[in-house]
Amino acid sequence: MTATEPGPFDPPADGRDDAFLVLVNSAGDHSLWPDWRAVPQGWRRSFGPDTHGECLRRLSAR
Amino acid sequence: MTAAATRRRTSPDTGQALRLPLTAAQSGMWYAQALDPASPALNTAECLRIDGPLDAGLFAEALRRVTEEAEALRVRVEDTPQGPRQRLLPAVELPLSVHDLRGDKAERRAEAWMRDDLARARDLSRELPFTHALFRVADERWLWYQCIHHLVMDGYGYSLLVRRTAEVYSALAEGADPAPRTFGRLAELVARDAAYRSSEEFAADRAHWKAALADRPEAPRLAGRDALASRTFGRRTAYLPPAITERLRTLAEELRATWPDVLVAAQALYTARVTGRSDVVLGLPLMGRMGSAALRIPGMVMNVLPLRLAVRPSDTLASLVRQVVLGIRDVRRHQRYRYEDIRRDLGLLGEGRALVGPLVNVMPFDYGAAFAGVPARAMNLSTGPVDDLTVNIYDRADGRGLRIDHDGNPALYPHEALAAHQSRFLRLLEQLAGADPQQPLGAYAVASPAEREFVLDECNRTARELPHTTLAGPFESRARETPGATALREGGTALSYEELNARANRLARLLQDEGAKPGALVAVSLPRSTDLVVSLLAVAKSGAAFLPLDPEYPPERLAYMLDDAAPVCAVADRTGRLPEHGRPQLLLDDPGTRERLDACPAVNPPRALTPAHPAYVLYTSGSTGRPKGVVVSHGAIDNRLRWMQDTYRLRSDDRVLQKTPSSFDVSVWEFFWPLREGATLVVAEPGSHRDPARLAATVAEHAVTTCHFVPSMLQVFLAEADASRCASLRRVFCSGEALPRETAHTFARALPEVELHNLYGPTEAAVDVTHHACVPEETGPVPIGAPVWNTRLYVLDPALQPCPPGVTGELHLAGAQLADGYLHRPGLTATRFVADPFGPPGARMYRTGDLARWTVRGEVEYLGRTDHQVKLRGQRLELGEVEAALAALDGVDGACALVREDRPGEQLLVGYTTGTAEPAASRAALARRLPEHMVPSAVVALDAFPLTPNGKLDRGALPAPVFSGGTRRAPEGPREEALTALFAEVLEVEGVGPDDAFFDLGGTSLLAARLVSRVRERLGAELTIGSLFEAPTPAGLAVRTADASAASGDALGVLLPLRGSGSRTPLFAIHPAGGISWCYAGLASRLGPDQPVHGLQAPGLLDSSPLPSSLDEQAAAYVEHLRSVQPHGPYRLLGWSVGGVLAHTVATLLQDEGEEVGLLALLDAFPAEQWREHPAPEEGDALTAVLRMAGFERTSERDHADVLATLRRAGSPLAGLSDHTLARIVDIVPHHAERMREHRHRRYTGDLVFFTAAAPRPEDWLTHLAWRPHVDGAIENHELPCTHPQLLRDEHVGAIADVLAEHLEVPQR
Repeated sequence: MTATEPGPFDPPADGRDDAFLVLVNSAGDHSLWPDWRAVPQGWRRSFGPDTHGECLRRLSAR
Repeated sequence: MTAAATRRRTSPDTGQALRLPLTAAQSGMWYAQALDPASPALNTAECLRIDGPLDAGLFAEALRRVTEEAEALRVRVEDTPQGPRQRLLPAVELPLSVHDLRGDKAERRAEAWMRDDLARARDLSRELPFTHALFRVADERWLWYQCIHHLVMDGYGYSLLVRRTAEVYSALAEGADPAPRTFGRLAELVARDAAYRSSEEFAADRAHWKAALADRPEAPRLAGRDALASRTFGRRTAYLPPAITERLRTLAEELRATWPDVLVAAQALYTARVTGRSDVVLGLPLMGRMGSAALRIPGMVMNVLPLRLAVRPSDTLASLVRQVVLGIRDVRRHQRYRYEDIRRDLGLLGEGRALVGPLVNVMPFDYGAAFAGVPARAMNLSTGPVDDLTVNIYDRADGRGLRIDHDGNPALYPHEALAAHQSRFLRLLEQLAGADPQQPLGAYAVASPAEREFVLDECNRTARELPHTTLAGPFESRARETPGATALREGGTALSYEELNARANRLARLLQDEGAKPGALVAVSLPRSTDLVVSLLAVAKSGAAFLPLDPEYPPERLAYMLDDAAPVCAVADRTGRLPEHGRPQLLLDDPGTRERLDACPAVNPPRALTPAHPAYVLYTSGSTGRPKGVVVSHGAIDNRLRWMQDTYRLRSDDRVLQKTPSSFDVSVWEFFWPLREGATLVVAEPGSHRDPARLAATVAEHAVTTCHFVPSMLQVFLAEADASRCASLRRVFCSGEALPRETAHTFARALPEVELHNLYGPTEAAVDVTHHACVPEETGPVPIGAPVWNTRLYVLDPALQPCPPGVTGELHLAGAQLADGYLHRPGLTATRFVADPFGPPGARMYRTGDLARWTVRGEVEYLGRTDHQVKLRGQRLELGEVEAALAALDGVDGACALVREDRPGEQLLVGYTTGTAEPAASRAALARRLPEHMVPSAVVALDAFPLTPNGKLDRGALPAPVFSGGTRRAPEGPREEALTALFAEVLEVEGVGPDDAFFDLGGTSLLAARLVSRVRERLGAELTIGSLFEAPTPAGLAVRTADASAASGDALGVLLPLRGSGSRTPLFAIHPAGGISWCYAGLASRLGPDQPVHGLQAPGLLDSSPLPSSLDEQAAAYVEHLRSVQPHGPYRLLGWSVGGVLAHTVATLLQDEGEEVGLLALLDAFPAEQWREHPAPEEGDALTAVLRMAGFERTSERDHADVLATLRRAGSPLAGLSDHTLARIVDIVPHHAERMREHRHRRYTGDLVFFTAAAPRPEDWLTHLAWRPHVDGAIENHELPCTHPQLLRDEHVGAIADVLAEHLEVPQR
């Protein structure tokens, strides 16, 4: 959220392994999502929870 | 202190008092008071309500005895040469006043008295540090007020005093003797403190705190800023209902903690969310007393310790409370080390920089005091100074639940703000008390339901049904409705709607033939012109999306974008505009294309275009080094254009100025808005958007009513252009950067009848998503405003929960204007365009990375960035991209970049490198690769990057670039002096010398405009920005503006007076291969004020006179010019490159005529036979020659437009060359090369001074010794560690001047 701290969509600072999800909606849009936040309406979990890196890999390989 | 000494009693007769130093805790208070002696902030006070009968006399007696027992109260504190001292007074008169206030509003009157007393500053050198007052407010209700200066007493001390007073009173009331005294002595307090400070424990505590806070974050500030210590504080009192208090206690037990721990955790969570940080430092006031003895001494011992906590949305309340428990345990172990000492150790004193955020003061002291059975209830009136915010929490166990006081510094927390923080905190406690402690903290929101409804719903009521149109349709409808109206004006020509539509239609057909259709991309690369407008319209009409490619971009970047975007075809004006990319190019200047166009039908082409299809793709800077294409649909941009028309109502008589480069999304509304509303689009000349005077002229000439400015350009425009010429303006739009209030005020003064609108939006959201109409009388930051149609704005905290108004969070955008995403970057798209938790099902939102907050009026204020994206003069750039480009250069080990604002209002992009690369060369290399706005004004080479204690790059410690010239001589002559002073004034740099180049001193194109207009104003000299490029030093400009003959045009005559004045024999310097002698300007200035230097330039640069047929002929012409300046010898000649060969020839001709040649100096020039057999790569071609004249090697420039672009980006003087001159150079260079090969040298009688560019080069056969056959004298060779083109650059010119100086017999400087 600042130039020095990671935000909700950023990979966590060293040492932590926060969990992330990949969400998808009915239009086929994908979204990275932090595990600790409720999944918004109209979106469903398509992958995860897993590490930030792994979720990014899934999202990039489309 | 010996035991005997501490037990010394004093007798009232002698009045000899015990004098003691202050403890460290007391010293802290003493210094705080000394900073503002008139401040009452250090008074603490309490009021006890005694409900029942009380004997005032007995009460007074009890107080007297307690006062006698509590030595800490009976002191005078005086300053001495050795520092402050406290003098223990043997006896004091009890400062107790008794008031019978029974009657009307008794308590009110008592409170007023207490308030007044509390507001009275105490001078501890003269008065007692405490006051008592007893108020009888009813027959059986008494208020006991005590006010004690914090220097002598802390909160725990109060409880000791109150309990003892009650005990003594109760005993006296029974007629019994009170229990024996137990209070420790003041001297003991002092001794313990001294013992601690010299103990090992002290050293260990110091080390602990230094380590714990070495890499501390900034102190969290709920108000967003610091303020000076205030003399008062604001207080809001609230009670947490007993039921919730109970639940909190139960919860605490479940978590194996105490309820204070839970409260601290809650405050940490609240603070983290409101400040947007996860690393939070709270202040924990602790007793500071270790050991039972310490617990018996009333006095000032308390300390505030930093409690550092990590609060992440993924944590749970349980884990946070555990952190608090362990954290407090750790803090307690080291609680004797003073807060002031910690701050000093960390270097925070003196600047008043804070260490901690809000203080959480939980006071579990059991105040059960009874006065002969009558209960007394205590109420705190003040706990001491409040720097920022202190949350005091009391559990008085009186059935009312916890009492919570929010004390705030009034400078930071007006009443409403304090109340809001308190009510939110209480709501949070309620939520925490009732929820599962294992759920993630991210589930909690800090905003109240009303606040949430306001920011999510009320502020975002922007839904609007719109017809489903695209960029093409509305224009075509308009063209049908008003075919004869003027659509476009460029210079003197105008196009009607019908004509424009027809031209666009023809091109659209051609594009469709090449594969343009909905979903396809067409690249468009044209300078600003009618053709550009036609092309963009044509692409839209074909159904495809346009990809504007700025013609000024470096070829490398263009090639990257073409490769990445893979358009089906491209539209340009001429060959060479775009690099080869394997796809068809339609060249509008090509006659063949024009023929094809003529054959196309002029009617609207059919296309299966829907609003969902992409309308345009614009590239923006990428943080990892690769720019990315943003894809915006027709629906998104159509929403934006319809909203714009509804809000600002263009009429058919409006004229909109097209001035913004097509690669910047603002241009999209310039192109497409007027043309769908029947207004006229006025196309400004290319490049004029940088020149305020030209802009004003264009506005005046075409009666422009509507235009856009990036705020920093608006500032320059208002300062430099004649606003009175702009009376036709009706409205001005600003976007791209924060609009400073001063600029809005200046605008209102200069153009009072014109509306000023502030808009905001990233490329990822169809140009702009918010709007604000500036109101001239308003103050404070200019808001970015409210959302446009069908758009929602969310300001979210780190848990993606809505921030209440006034609280800063990250701005997220949702709605119809969101881009589809990034072209070919699904991963990046999915991380920036994420799920929207607040919109309709399946909605997305875009994370802007901008910090913002809602105002209570429903507008958003912009507050900065969360990352390393910056805006420089409205252009977005990722520092990461600049860094990646630097890091990719040879010799660069590490790189970083920063936008610095060392002088307010002047932003500079600065790059930093480690490694062996030379900074100036790095900068030049970047000028080749990056667009102009991304090239740093300076690159600074460092041995190593500064690091923070945890080894991260410390950006704050990067040094400011030092802009300074080389040898700094004093300016001579009134003109040079005036110009040097002007440079210094405009650049705000000290120590400017007359030979310092404008752009090397941090000059930007904005400052260039300013300088030019000042020169015009102050010196009456006509100067254009172009001429500043040609002569960027005060000396150079002095020459140009002084000599009538040195106006821009005549800088290209055969004879160029580089320095026309001086008493010594002139030096004649002959041009290199390009025919221009400007390169000798630096040499001329280094040779000093008394040495005239004349350049000789190739004939025909200005006109079309034929080139000489041989070097001999050319040299002969030069001799004539020479002699017109200096009729007779001795002559002094110098030449670089082919100029050297010519100089040698001139020398021989002069000798033929019997004249003396005193000096012949050649700069890396080699005789003809060294070239005859070789293809002379050194002299390549015109483009290389021009670049070399500027000191660059040619890499990827393909034509002279590229060359000019490179020169301009690097701020070179040669960027001002006209097309004609460049064309002549194109001819002159090969001409010289050929003539040189044909040349036969004659023999020169005399010495030769030679300078060799000794850096290794492919032409390794070149040697100064090749002159041997042609020189009948000594050949003195000087080697310089550089390449041929670098010889006359700043770094080497000094060495050359030094050598020449000896031969010219000028004094050394």
